[in-house]
Amino acid sequence: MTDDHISDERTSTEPLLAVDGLRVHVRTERETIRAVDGVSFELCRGETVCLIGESGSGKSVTCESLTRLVPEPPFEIVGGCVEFEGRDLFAADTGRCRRVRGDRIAHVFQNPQSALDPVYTVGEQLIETIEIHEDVPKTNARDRAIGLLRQVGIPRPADRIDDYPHEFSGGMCQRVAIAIALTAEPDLVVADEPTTAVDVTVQARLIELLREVTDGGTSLLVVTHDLRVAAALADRLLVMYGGTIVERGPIEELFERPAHPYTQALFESYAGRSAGSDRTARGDVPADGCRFRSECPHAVEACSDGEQPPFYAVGDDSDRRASCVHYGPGNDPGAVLEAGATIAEAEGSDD
Amino acid sequence: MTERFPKGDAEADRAGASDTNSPLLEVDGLETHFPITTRWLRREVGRIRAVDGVSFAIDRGEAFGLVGESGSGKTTAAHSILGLEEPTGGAVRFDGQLVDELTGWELQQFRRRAQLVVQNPDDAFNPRLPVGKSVAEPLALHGMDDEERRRAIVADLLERVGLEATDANRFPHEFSGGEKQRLSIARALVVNPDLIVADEPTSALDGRVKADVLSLLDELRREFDIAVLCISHDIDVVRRFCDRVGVMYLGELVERGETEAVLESPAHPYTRVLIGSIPSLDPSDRSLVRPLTETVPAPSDPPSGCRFHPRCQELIPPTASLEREDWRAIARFRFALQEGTVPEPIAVDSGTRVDPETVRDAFDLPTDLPNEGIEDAVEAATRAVADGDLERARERLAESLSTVCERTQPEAGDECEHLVRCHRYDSTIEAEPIPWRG
Repeated sequence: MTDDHISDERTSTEPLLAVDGLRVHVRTERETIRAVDGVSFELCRGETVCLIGESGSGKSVTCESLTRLVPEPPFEIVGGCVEFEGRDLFAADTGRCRRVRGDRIAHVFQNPQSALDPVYTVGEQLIETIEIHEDVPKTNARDRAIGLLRQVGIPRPADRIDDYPHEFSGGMCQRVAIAIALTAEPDLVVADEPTTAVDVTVQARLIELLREVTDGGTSLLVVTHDLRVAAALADRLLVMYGGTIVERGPIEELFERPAHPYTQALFESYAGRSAGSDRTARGDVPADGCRFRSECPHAVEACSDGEQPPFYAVGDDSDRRASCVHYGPGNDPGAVLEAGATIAEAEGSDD
Repeated sequence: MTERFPKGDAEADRAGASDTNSPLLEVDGLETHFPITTRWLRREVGRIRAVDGVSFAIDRGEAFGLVGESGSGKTTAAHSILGLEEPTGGAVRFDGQLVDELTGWELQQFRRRAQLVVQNPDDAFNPRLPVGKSVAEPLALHGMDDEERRRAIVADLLERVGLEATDANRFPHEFSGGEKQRLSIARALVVNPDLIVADEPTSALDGRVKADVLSLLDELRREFDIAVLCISHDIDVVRRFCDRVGVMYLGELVERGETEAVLESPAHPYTRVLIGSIPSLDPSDRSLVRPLTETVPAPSDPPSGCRFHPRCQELIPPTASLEREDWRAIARFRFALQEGTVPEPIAVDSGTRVDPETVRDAFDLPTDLPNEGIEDAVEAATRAVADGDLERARERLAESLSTVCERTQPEAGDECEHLVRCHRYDSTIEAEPIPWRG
């Protein structure tokens, strides 16, 4: 184990995954879009972190860049580094990157029907994955595949293993996709909107399944746009807007009192009172300064200076951070914080 | 006052008459079955009961929500109401007139007055037509020949839904999902309808865009006094938007009432499962309700009696002497065997015999039941499962554990404000309703 590369601020508990200043651009003929613009976070063993944001906020691109799954071109990882157990994944040669990607980090995608190959049975797909990762005879691989299906809650796995993906319901397909992700016993599962395509009753079972996965010590990075899914799964929350993280913190404190004006707007949309109903339907995210400033009710002149503001501590809580000038030194965050408390309260009574 | 599509004469007369007390839309026992046919002779071998006896009414200007999981028949119900699917039974009355008897000009008027907004705005527009043309199309269809006037109405509406008048010349791909849904709403509004059927209007959108589109729809409905039938699987949408709500399960309406009453204190066991499956916004409360068994039965072969009975946590026991938890364990045992979803240690496919004790443990079955008949049945079924004879176990349990829920269909109890289709709410049956979260 080489731990000379890890960031110096946390030497006692080495994070499983450390992302530092990740920047991903999309080059088109006309312009360059900064899809991910300086994202940094860490993930510890056994921890569940949710990356929340709206479509286009860059949350999926962030996740797929970790293992370089994003197609290059048009995407291009232009900066930052991703360390997994202290090893720089971007510096690693393709072979090693691939090993980590397959063995240690597994992905689960939003739409299970398109993640599975329709012309092979789920058993063939599982066995293929098992044989890539382990040197086992076919019969043992089959037994292990049945075991995995059972583990993810497929009834009568020995019968169902020879069925094709179309013979499974959406929820069951997602379970199969999770089973495939679990074949190599990964340390980290990256799930991109794992419950978005299914009904609430099925979602409830998938949430329970994902909780079981993390109970076994696996870390989970969940991308979602649904605050409810985040509330049900996460230990910590990262709120993304316009390619950057605007707020981070432990889930309970963050839900109790969202600090960043964007997070507050997100919570407000759940309370049914959309402050921005007169908001322009077509808002371009600015490329510098605070990305949210054009829609922010608390925006001041300082918001347009320089880059996205650095993370300032929210209140006395050392784990809560908001990228907002109001929390900076010499500024009084009172008014902004107060707005967050009222929103959270209204939400509580609504529920 | 900006220019709008003129309302018909008949309607103007009607508005003056005393007929305004009757609901705008009345759906009475609506049935839409799809035949299952053999390949060659087209002989009917079965029926998918997509919608099976659904009744509700919507007043002028009211928002009614229809919720349920995929496959519950809510979209088919909406299409049947609009005449896009042919109902196989029941009656739909729009403004007092039977929809399937409408012909000629009256039918055309109905088609103008009842508009549909579909789920996926990406599929809703012709990619080769400027959106202004798409939005104006219904006007031309309904006989407005003056192009200048059409253009003026469209420009006005685009501004009303939060876009710009000049957007009329742009093409669908130049808009985001939320903007396209605003365009869909504009297109529905352009002919000045009285009813909008919105089929999952926001499920392709997320976060604040969703909230914006919903509040736009809400504003417009109040401004123009339009009734909305909102179909959604998203309880948050219904909570925010609808005055009343109906809950569908396997083609039937199981509960119907004021939105707040239904969502805050759901009465039907299925509604409770549906509401209890939604994760709370309080991260410290992570409990999720689960039904008795997981498998949703096929709508071509729905369970007898109450269609929810094999999954119902509140199934009525054959005798009152059983403890609730004991009865649930036994019922779960029975319906799991029926579905063939047997837990791991006694999986049927393993083909090996197991110990009856293992069976009891696997299903968490209670011992020393107060009722001898049930104790014997459970004992016999356990042994049958241990021997690998599932059929015998199923029969033995079905024979001794028969419940009113599987024998008779719960009454709809028509005229009451809050409808709950469950035997527990039937005064002639000896079973009390269980309090919500009780």
